Amino acid sequence: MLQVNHVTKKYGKLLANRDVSFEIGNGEIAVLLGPNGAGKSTIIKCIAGLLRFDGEVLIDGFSNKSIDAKKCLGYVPEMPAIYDMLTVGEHLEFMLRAYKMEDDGTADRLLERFELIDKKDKLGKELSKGMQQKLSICCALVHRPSVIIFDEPMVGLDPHAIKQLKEVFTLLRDSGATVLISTHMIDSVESYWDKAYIMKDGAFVAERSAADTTEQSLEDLFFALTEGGKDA
Amino acid sequence: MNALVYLVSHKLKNRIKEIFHRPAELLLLLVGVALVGFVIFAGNLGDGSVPRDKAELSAIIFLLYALVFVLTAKNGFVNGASMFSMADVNLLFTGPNKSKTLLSYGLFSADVNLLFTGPNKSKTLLSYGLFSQMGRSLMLGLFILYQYSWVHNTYGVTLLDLVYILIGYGMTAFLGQMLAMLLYSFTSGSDSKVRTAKGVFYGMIAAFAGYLLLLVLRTPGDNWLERALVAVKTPVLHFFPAAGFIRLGVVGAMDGTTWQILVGVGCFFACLLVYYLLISVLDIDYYEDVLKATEVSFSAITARKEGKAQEMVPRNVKVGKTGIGKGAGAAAIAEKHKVENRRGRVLWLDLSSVVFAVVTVGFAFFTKEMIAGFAMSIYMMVMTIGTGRWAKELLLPYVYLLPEKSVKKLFYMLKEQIPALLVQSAVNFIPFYFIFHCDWLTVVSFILARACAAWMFIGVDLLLHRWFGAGSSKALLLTLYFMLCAVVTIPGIIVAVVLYQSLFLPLSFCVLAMAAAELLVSLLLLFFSRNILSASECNNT
Repeated sequence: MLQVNHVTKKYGKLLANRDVSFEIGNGEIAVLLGPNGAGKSTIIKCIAGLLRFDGEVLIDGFSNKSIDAKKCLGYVPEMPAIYDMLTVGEHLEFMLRAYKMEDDGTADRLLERFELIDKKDKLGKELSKGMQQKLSICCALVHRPSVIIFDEPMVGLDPHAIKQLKEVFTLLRDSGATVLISTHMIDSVESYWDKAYIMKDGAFVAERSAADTTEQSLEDLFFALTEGGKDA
Repeated sequence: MNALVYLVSHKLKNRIKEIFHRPAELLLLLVGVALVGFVIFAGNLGDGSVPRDKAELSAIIFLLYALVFVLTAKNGFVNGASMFSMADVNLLFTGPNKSKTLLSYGLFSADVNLLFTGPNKSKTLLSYGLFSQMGRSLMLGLFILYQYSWVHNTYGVTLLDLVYILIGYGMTAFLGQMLAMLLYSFTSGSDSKVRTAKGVFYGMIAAFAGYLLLLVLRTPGDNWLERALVAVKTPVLHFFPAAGFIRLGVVGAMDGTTWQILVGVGCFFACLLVYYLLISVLDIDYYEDVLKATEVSFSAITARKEGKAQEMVPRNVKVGKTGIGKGAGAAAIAEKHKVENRRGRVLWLDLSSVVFAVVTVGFAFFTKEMIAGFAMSIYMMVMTIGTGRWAKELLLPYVYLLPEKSVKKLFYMLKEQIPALLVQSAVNFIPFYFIFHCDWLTVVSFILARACAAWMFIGVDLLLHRWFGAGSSKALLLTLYFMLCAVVTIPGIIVAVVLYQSLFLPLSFCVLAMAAAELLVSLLLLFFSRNILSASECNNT
């Protein structure tokens, strides 16, 4: 479970996130939508514990800066985070060792799913940007976290990888994990979200549940809010 | 207004406006200018006596120029095309432009798009390109101005003389870049040509070095410095590309010897012409290599803009044994570093450490002062301490995300530095034993003092990261870094000076006391930074 309570983040005078609160339960997928500069990546980084902020973030009930919370968290950054001098296989070995986890075959299964198994001995620097993104996703998932946050995970991925990633989202939900996905590719998330949050100017301007019965599509709502200038 | 004049004037105007809009950059600039002023003021406080033979300065200038020329030119074997921007490659290479012409204009870097497609005369463009590139080369050598104090008091160098040395530096770096381009043009796409060119390039350097060594050995006398000076004075060295004849011209300008200036400047332009003509006549298809090199350069520039440290990795990495093999929890970080260092061929001693050690030893040798060599070693280390693997680790999210205590992760992140700093320091100061015939305790004290100073600078870097995070103004952080580095060295210096001047203790004891003071300051800084991996900001991902 992920709980974000009254998070405010300032960069000097710039208010990047303004009193943001939301909650995502176990076995739920939430999508975070918003135009460029809305504050999506900032709130994601606050949740990941990479930024200082005012407010509270709880991961499975633990403060996000605590060791217990870090054990439960998986984070896929917007830019692939890869070590040039490690092979693909070593990236996953490093993550497992650092998280003190045994390899139960998850590493190879992830590499197979994302078609990286034949690149296992390739160095990080030899991978294309798309492959680096796939590896970055594998690194975030290999220690089997219960809360996973994705920051624009589909940028740079080929159609096969996007399809696989969507399957991963569903599998994670089915396994009871909490999934938060920040994206501006609305059409790519239409089919599987449970909750959707639309951000503008650092704050939530709308939230919608998949159970809500409304004729207005998420995309229409998004454009009405971000182009029309009115709140829902 | 002429388009080129417009471009130059507006670029300059916008740069000045930009500085005034960024207080941190303005502060850095003011501090830089103030430091030059301070160095000049402090340098002029001396009694005006010139204790050392100016021939030594001539030798130092030659060594500096030779080092710059060789290190710049050898880039031609790796990525001679880094003078192109990504936009150049995408827009120009696909256009109806002659490859030779493009390569020539590669010197103009980011301005190619604007200039090359505009209605400008090629001669005007060439002048502009040369002017721009020379300007960039000169900027790289501004550190020379900070040497005024000691070169003035040691060799009687005036500010004008120092400007001549700076101009010579720019000319040397420029010819080095031209030769890099020539080497790249010649060797592009052919391993056999690379081998041949490398053979000729390093063979020439070895021939000059061998000849110098022979001269030193043949010169009678017990004083190695005097024997080396006699060797460096040989007219044969004037023929060493760039460094030889430019040194001749610069020394001529300092002494007011017209023929030397004419020969130096004449050879510079002749060399430039030869390089240019050779580049023009070589028929090459280099686009693929250029694209690859430019992508590397582009990603490095992007990484710098995003505040990420770009790793200098060998072109051909031997993967070797795979697997990290050991370590659990935070300890996995240190084990990972071992694998990365093995592949990056860094181990404990990288190329820049060796170059700096050579400069330290050379400086101590020529000034005949151990303390001067020690100070030079510390001075150079301030610039490079933040390039270790630990600094790159701070720019990726993993080290923050791992479920371990911050202080434990910090320890394992820095662990590789413990042996590395000692080895690097040893390479700097073991030669002192042979040059100055000092005792081993003195050598050990210098090694420890340098290693402890390195930990202080790492502590300063960490503390700034802890306070400001990676997203803050780079100029501001750099300014604060230099200022804090200067401040933290004060306690050690005071301890050493007091013990030496008041208690008349041997030098080795005073330097050891300095090392102890530095260690205390380092521990204090690391203590304040202990929560860096849980409380600071990582805004690069």
